[in-house]
Amino acid sequence: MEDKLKIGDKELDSRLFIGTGKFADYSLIPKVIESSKAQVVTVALRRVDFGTPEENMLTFLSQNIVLMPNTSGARNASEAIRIARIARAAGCGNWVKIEIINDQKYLLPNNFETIKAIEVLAKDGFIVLPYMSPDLTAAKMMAEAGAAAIMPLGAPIGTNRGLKTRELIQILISEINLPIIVDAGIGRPSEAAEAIEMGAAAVLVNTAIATADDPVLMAEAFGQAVDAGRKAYLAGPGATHQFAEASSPLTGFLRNE
Amino acid sequence: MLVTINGKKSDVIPDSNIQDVIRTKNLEMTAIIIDLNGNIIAPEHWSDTFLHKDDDLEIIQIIGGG
Repeated sequence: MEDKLKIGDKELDSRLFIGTGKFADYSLIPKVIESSKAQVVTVALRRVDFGTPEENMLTFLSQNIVLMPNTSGARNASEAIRIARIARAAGCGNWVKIEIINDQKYLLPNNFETIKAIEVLAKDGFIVLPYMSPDLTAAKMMAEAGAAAIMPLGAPIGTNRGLKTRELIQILISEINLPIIVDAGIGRPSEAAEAIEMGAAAVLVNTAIATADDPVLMAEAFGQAVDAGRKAYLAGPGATHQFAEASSPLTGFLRNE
Repeated sequence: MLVTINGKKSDVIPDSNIQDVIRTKNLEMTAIIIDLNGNIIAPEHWSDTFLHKDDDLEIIQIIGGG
């Protein structure tokens, strides 16, 4: 069955996007990508720390992966725009995850500055995927500004708490004519399956995989959960009822009525 | 000569080019991105791009992130 996720100029088979932060060892990342079958991977940009320079993440990623650099560290639209342009110039391609955060306790995104950044970057040829607080008006403005998908949070970043914003995400799925990708908060494969089952186009998972005891096995579980959720969505779940509806015949053939 | 490197005032030898600075910092050339005063400088121009007083140099790398 042909069931591709189209975003920008790409057609994807996998609906699991993977973040590369928090891994104890970068050498785990190629194995995680392989076991999950993910095709889109986020990376971040940082100033080099001359005391302890980190390894170059790109050397761990194969050429056919779609890179989605994020703008983490940006506090406003202009910082996000600058980070996006640096990432593109550095060979990360034209996808960008806008992430603009002013709140250090919950790391909730600034939807207003995000809309401004989308306007500029979409006009500049970027495929823009904004991380956002699930709000219908903001999502509509992001769509109008040229976003290629909308990425509402399920719960605050890194919390592994699941789909706490479920009702609001459901509204975005029904009202916004763009892929809705649940980004942040998903802690377990069952929650990823739930998001896809209710019509989310994809999920972005990082902490849940990176902090698992066995990240490679957890990545595989997430890949399978997302596939199962998508099949269930396409299959169309049956209606729910308040009272029991017999699945077997109830005629009493061993007794007299 | 004072320039700003990654947000900190740094003293560099006058007439230094970007490649000289990278060398003194012992950085791996293939792993970094150079932004000088808001413009990305391609690696082939690191040796012919010279620093001037008060330049703002950012040396950036790509790391893991979500």
